[in-house]
Amino acid sequence: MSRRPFIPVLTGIPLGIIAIFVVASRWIVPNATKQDIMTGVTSPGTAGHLFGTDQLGRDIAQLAIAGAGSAVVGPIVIALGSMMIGIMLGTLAGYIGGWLDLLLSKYADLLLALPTTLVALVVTGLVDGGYWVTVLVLIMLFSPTDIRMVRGSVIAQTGRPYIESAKVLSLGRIRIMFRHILPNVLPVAFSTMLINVAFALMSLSALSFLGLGVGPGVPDWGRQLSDSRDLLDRNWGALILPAMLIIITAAAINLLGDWLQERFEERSVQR
Amino acid sequence: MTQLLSRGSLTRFIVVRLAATGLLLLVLSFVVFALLHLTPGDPARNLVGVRNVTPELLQTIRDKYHLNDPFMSQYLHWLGNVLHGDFGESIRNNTTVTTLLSDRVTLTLQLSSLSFLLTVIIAIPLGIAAAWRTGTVLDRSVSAASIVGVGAPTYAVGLLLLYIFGLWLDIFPVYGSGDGGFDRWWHLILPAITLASGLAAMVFKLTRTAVISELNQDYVAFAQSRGLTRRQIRSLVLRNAMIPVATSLGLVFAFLFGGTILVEVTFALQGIGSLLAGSVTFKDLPVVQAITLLTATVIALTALAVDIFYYAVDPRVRQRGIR
Amino acid sequence: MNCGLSLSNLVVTGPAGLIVTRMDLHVEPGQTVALVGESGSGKSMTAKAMTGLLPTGVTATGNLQLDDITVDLALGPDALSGLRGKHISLLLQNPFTSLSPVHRCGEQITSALAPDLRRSKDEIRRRLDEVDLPERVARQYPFELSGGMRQRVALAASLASNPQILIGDEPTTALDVTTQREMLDLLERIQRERDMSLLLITHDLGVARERADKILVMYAGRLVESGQGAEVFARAQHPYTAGLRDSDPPLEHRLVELPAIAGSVPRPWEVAIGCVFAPRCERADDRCHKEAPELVGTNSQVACWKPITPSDPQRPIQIATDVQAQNTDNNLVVVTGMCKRFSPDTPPALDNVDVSIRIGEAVGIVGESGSGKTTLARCLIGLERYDSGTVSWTTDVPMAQRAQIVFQDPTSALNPAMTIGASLAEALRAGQRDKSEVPSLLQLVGLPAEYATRRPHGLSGGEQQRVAIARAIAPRPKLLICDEPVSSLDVSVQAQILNLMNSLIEELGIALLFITHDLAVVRQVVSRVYVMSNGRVVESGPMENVLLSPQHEYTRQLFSSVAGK
Repeated sequence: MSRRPFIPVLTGIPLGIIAIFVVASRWIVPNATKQDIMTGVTSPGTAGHLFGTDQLGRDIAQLAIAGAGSAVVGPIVIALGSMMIGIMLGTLAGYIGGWLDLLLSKYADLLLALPTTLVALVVTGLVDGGYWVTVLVLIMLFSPTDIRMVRGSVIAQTGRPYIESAKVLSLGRIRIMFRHILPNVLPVAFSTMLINVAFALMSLSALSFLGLGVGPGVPDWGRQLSDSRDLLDRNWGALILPAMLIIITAAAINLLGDWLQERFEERSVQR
Repeated sequence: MTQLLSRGSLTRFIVVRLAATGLLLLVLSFVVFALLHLTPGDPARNLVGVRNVTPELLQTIRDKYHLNDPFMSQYLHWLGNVLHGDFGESIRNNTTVTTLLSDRVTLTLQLSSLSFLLTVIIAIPLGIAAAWRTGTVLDRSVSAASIVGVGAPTYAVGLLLLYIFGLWLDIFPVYGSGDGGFDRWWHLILPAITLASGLAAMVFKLTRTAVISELNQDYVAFAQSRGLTRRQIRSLVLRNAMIPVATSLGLVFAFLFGGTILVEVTFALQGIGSLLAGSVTFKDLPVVQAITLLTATVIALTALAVDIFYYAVDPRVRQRGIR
Repeated sequence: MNCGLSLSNLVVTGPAGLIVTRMDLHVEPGQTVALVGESGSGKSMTAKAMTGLLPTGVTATGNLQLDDITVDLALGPDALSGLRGKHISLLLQNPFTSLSPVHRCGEQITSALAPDLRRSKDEIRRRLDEVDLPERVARQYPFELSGGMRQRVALAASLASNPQILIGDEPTTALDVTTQREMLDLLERIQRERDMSLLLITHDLGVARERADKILVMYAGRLVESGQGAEVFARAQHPYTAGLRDSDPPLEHRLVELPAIAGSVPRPWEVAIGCVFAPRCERADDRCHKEAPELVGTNSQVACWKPITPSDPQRPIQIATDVQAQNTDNNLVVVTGMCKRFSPDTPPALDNVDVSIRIGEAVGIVGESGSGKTTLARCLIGLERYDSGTVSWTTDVPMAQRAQIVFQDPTSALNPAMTIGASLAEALRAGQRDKSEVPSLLQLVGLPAEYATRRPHGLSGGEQQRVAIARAIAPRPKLLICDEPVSSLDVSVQAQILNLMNSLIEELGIALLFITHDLAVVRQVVSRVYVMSNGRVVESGPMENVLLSPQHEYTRQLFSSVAGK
């Protein structure tokens, strides 16, 4: 089932908008966090506030735009960091094998024995370090899956004749790993990374929803959703806007990553 | 089935896997125990919590939890208690951890089983149907929906459903766990649907992929060429696809746990998930330790069950024996 | 009324275009018809169209008539559901994937029968008996059986509903040479007992020659020639048939050069105007390029504007005098007593193997799968470790310049992420040569210099293998090891590569270790041969001697199993 190029376009538009939010929120909505206790909660459509305001008088829409950064930047860093670890350790484990491979496999098994959210919750809750510490913790938690994936891909490549030919040419291990194996593993790694961004988005925002991660008062979609619970009867906009933003962003990233994965699979099957 | 499934080999298989599981849990228990000492701050202080800290209180705590003993003996002591079902006392409330858990465990079980049931009933048949008819409207639309389902964060979906069906349309109750019996289940419908949405998306995708992969195999073409009926071919395919689908269900289990925490918090349900969330924020260590260890045990046992299922169902595994 | 199977006007279309055009065939009751062609000829698709098993996106039109049942293929695959199994049955190539891995053999064989017969032990036993399999197989799973046995189970399964015609799509290609013969004999016997027709699809000319009453030759989706049995080849009228026959390596003698058909097989939809074969045909004239010829003739038919007639001059066959094995002690490498065992409970892969290769000599190792020939090569070149024995080289250049290897599968032999030029430059550097040699290297293997900027995936199988050979000889190794280098290639391309190898050996003076299961192929290249079975060398000696008077029982069995030569 091959999909027309309309997927990148379909996903590109919302993602592009979000990207603008992330980069330029400082200029678009400089006063997002400005509180106005006098106004209090208002429902969507009141003058000047398309989606109303929350208890502290903050405009929901502005807050959401400002929150894009915290919702998206962290997950990208997580996916990137995790994949980098995955590539480094996965390649070593897959190609060199031996005790290193065994060690990493056991480490991965251990970490994967518990659900990510649970471990993330426990560790970030106990350590209590804020946004970037949470990001670091999630990188550690996501890395075993990436290590496994890269390792598998590397092992699959290692058996192929062109790698054996490289060995027969007496090319050094490092050269074989970087010049031959890695370039063929990277495309799949990239599309997996994209899907990881979506998962990281879910995990990170879930943590801030539960009250961990982001500090209070910092714009964040998860936090906004958590706060919206008290406002449901007075301002439904406080729920709808951040919820839709999260769902659309995550879905767009997922669709894109999925589409890329299919494309890469098709290409490798052709060979 | 009986030929390869001799009594002896199956028991041997189970014993070996149990031993491996036990070892894993042992290591995990060690890590869980060490949490107390890994958290920043003085363990004794952490165990005191927000109560007034006096030197006498600290001393009592130290004696009670053997904090002055060497690390390993502390661990063994704790482990001994745990195996007797004693996880200590909650710092937040003044009850034993065990009582706290047992009060809430039923709700979490009800929620999880309802979600699991919903997932299996919806996702697996849909996955099979979509695989059978790839490219059709059914396939494309459900696949698209599942991508959204996988991506949508559980709590966001939960809140949306809560608002639409709870507040706006006023069909379901908004918060709380209801008063026993049918009312309880009624309260759990919305949360279960929330949880099931993410799970179902995953299971649908995995089922669909597994069945499509089997349909492309040579043995299906060969079966068709021999004139087997559609129904016969379907049973042939499903029998083979069962194996990867079972693996996926096992994977789903892990996701289930994470999701339960979020759903319980969102819908203010008094289950183990919300207990964990609250305990972490409050740094109620004994509770956190207990829940973590229990979760790990359940997941490990599920993995073991999946392995045994493999053994029973896939003759190739039986031949390879114990890995 | 039993009048056999008739296929008329078959046209198969796929997403890229035409796959098969205007195909007609007729099989008499009890007859064996061979459908011969190379990859892309459309023979497999024809079989699939006849059974309604075309892949998604591929449609067929035409008429199929079996006895008094007529089916219009344009109605789709369901129109054939009445015929499948009960009248027409299919036997596939790969015995390892034809059967469901999680069901027992017994139940798979009878699954096409009525429910009450399905579980009947007698029924199952009867059918296993028919294919010479013991009763215990019924309770076993496919993975517990060897390839040959699995194919028999598949055969029994396809015969279950007693079809009138069995279509075998390369049914013996995946089997060992000795097993092949057994299988074909079995098929013949079953045919006779059941008065069943057989449509045999194969690329192996020898099999067709030996077993078929009628042979149809396909090229790029079209039927180009048909006729009675071996006559089709002996008195080939179509230039392609003649070319195919000529490029098929003979076993009796060694040729100076194998006549090869220039170029490679086009995809069926790529040829628009004129005769399909015209671009590669030596005899083609203007008309051939503009108008597509129709099939003419009665008993034997041919589609050609300029068919070969008996009066045409015969192409001279240049028989080479077999290169005498050198008697001088000019050894390049000597292997003594090599032993290897992969695991304690399997038989040894190598059992006290002694092999020697002299400088500039071409040596062959023949054997079936599991004989250890590949393991030997891998141990020799350092890709695998051996348990005991010695390998002594009389040269001390670095390993990369001692020996290089060419593998069987050209598609995964090259790094898909690197350009051809880069791969070759890297290989040159490994032999301490400069990358400026890339163009001359490409020329040496018969490829244009522009290929240096291309990537492997756009090339044909034959071209990819040439690049693989170029990379292997780039560091000018003293020994070139080839492990089944032509087994994955079409016959016409095979001939090209074998010629290339011969010329390279002569030009560069390198030694060659040629490993294969195909005796005719090895005949054309080597002067000395080792025969291996179950990890041991059972016989060795000059190629011609071993061929004409094999000493060992196994060697004799091996040679006599080769079909049609």
